[in-house]
Amino acid sequence: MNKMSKWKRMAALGISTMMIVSTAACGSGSGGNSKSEKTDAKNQSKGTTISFWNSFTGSDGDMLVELVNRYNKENEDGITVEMDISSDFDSQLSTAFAAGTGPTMILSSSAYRFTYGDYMQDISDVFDKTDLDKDDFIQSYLDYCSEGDKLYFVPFQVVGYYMYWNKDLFEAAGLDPEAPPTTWEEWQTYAEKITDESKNVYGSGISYDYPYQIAHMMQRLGGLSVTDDNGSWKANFAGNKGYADFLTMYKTLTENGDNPLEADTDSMVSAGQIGMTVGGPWVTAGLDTAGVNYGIGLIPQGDAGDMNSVEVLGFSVTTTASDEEKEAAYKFIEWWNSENEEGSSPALEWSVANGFPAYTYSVQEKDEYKQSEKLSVMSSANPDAPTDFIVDSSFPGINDILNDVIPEMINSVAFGNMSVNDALEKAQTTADKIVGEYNK
Amino acid sequence: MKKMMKYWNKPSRSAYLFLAPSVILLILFSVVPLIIAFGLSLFDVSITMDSARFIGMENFVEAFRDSRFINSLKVTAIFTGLEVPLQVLGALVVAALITKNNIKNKFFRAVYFLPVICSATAIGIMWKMILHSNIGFVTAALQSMGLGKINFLNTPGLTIFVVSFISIWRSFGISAIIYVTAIQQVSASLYEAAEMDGAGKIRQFWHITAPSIRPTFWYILMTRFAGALQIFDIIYITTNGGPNYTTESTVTYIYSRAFSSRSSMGYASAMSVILFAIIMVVTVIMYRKMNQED
Amino acid sequence: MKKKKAIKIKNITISIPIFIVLVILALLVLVPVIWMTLSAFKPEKEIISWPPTFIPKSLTLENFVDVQDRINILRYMLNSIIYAGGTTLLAVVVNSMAGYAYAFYDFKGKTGLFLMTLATMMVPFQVIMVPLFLVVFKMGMYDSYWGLIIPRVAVAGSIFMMRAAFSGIPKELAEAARIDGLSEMGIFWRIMMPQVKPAAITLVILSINGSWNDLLWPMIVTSRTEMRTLANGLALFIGQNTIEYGAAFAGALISLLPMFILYMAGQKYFVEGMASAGLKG
Repeated sequence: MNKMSKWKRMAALGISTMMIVSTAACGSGSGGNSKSEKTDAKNQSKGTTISFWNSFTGSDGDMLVELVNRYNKENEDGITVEMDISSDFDSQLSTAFAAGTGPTMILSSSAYRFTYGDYMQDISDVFDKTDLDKDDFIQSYLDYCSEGDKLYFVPFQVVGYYMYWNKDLFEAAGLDPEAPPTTWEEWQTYAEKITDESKNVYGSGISYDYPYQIAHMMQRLGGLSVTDDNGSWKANFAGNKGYADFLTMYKTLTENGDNPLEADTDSMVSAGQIGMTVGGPWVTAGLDTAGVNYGIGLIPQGDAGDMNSVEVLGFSVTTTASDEEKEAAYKFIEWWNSENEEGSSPALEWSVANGFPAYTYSVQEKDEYKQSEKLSVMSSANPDAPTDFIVDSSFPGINDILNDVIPEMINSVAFGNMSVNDALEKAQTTADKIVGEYNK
Repeated sequence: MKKMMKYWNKPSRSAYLFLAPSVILLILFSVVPLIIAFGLSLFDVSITMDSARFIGMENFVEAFRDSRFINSLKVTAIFTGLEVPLQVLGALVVAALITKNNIKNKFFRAVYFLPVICSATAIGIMWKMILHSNIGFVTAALQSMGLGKINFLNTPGLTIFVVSFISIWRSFGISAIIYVTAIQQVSASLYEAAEMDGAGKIRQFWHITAPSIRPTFWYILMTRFAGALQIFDIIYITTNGGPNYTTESTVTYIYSRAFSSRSSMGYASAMSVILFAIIMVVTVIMYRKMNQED
Repeated sequence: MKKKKAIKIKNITISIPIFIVLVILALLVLVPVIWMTLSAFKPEKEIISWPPTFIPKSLTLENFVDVQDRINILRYMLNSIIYAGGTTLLAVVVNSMAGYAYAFYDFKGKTGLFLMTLATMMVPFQVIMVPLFLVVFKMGMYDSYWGLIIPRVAVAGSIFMMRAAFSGIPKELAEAARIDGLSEMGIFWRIMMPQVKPAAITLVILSINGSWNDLLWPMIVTSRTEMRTLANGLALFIGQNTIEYGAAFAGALISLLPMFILYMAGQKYFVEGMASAGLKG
């Protein structure tokens, strides 16, 4: 029996080491062929089929399908983009990469460069090989897509979070429906006025289970949670007065019954049961279908000053792509950002239809863009304000902060009877551990 | 040729023939991946396996220090304690009540089977909407009946019961149907003999039905047990471990460690090894007991 | 005569509470399912509304039209049928054979093999997923129906279930057949399999159902859109940031219907299985 288990252990070790070594070799081997020769892209990519994976489930994915179909029909290079929208993107991507396979192109958050960077090609030559103009792209968004002088993504969409308020509920509470809160003190007093227990109406809609929403709000009061401190990362939870204020506000709102203790506040927003909330541009889709009379504005400022926290999503080319496939991917990306005879581009259509701010100056200048009510609010933000979202934009551990530290913190305040300061101390301990791993 | 047929036709040898396909498939597609996964628990390795560093038992040491992992074991234990007895015994009682093949019972069987054929995703979203604290149909109905406002999915201490309920709701139908097929296989002559002896329905159940379907009982007990200890999809869709981690099962936590944050295949594997050891110990104990009874 | 009547009355007094319990359980199942069914016919606006409604205020088919427009239902359903059908066909044979061997034969290494089989059921799929994918990939089955089907054929739970079913058959039956000169394979196929028909049908339904609703494995092991199954297609309505409830529920109904018909057809065979078992007993 004992001998048996020993043998098993040896075998396990052997097999797994073999697997790891072989996959590691595969990974680095195929990474080498990204150095491409200067050949004419137009001839190279003729008749190429490239695979394109993303996680755009939901209704915006539907529009993406339409646009990709249009490309497949219109392009004269015979390129076919075969898109696969995945409901389990991470699992699909990581298993494929582990086996040394994968799609030509992916569309993901630029933070994926921290997890899958080894499997992404440097695509900084995209500006040389296509008609795309580097200077047309807003630099701060390109920064999100790069590491050092390597470019891993071409921006696809910029996701900012905004404030939405229900005008009918404002009116019912005797508030001016055209005057949303501009400070967090106002948010709290308005919330109290709007709340109507008999109708199940809540003034404020902050979910304890939505770290992105919380992070966008929290950083306006207390700034970034991880910053560069002379070359090493530093977590800023303990003793952060802004964060403490945010947590105290959340606790007070829920205890007074002005904010529901609910994970899914989004449905309530669509149902017209929430006075004020914060969320991405997709919130409007639910509000529009439900016919809610709402307004969009910038998230109220806090003590940390003006900021445009955003996430940048982009196209990237994986190391499994051949040079030919890479050229074809470039062609597609070029098409996405190119104007047709009517002066419209897929990028512009996407931006206007879904309410995502533009990442190029040329799109910003378009009339359709300027006329969009949603987008005009979004572009009314101070252009010089920093765009980092919750952590310094080059800190690789953003997902850990969002998925571990913030949920733990907000949950222990909402349910755990933990004092605000204790919760922040605990968050600091967890964050220090994460930061420590990246400081190595 | 004939000789070979004869050679393999000996019962003890043909057993291996009967087993060969399943054993080969299981080794290739279950045992080998399992051994690899277990091997990975000794490495510091990311999910894409692009770099690996041997770290010995470090992942295991960390797991036992990780309060979220310990908490997840507790949640899993509570969940298993709620789900397994209710499911295994409850379904048996229900099965006994719907064994006879008549229209009424066929109707009930079809109804109870409905949740089994729904996808976990559909079930999760449906219950999430129905039990929503604000716009949920059940919540509103209970409130209008004067039972107060119950926040089913956001109350620590309560939500684990709700999740267990949904999980039982989802699969008690299949347990019941499997029991029914087993009960129906019990030879009718046994019952006739008992009836002659004047045994009542309940006594017949205890003395004839129950012993006859023992293998099925063990099957349901052991598979439910393994299933409960690995509860994932229903939790993932309804609560995602909340509120305050009170429904974060071990596999839910393993999944998040493998894919969403601080993604580490090595650490996720180490936690799975621990979970595996726990399930295996209990299974071996049950298996012994089962064989004793046989 | 008199005694019989007394028993009847007693039966009724027991059966009424039993009936009530069964009805309550049925309602617990039916009310949410009916809510979901009705919701599939409600406009999105009404599904998410306060106060919530049970009976639709207005009926619409737009959710179904939406599903129809967005995914290639026929193609996806065909893939689901190939996946579920292929897996099930092989699973019934392979797992029944194994279950029979564990129930009827004594051989060296029985405990070890059975425990190994059980052990494969104890590890969360999420953990062995990546290594399993590596195996399938190295065998060249990536992005093919084979890769989809073969790894899902042998299932510990099904072997266990068939073992339980075969355990209920008296061993003398096999002995008698052996004396009659039947081969071992003949005994299994001609004598034993008909005896466990209800369990085999349960296995068929479970296996089809498992593959039909399987989301993760088809997503990982195939990469082309034309290889997607119905479950994958329907998952598209559950977005990362927004859920299209109406379409999701309509999709759930579309996917549920074939399974339900199959169950109803299968239920007929449960009865037949019962009748044949009764005859021999």
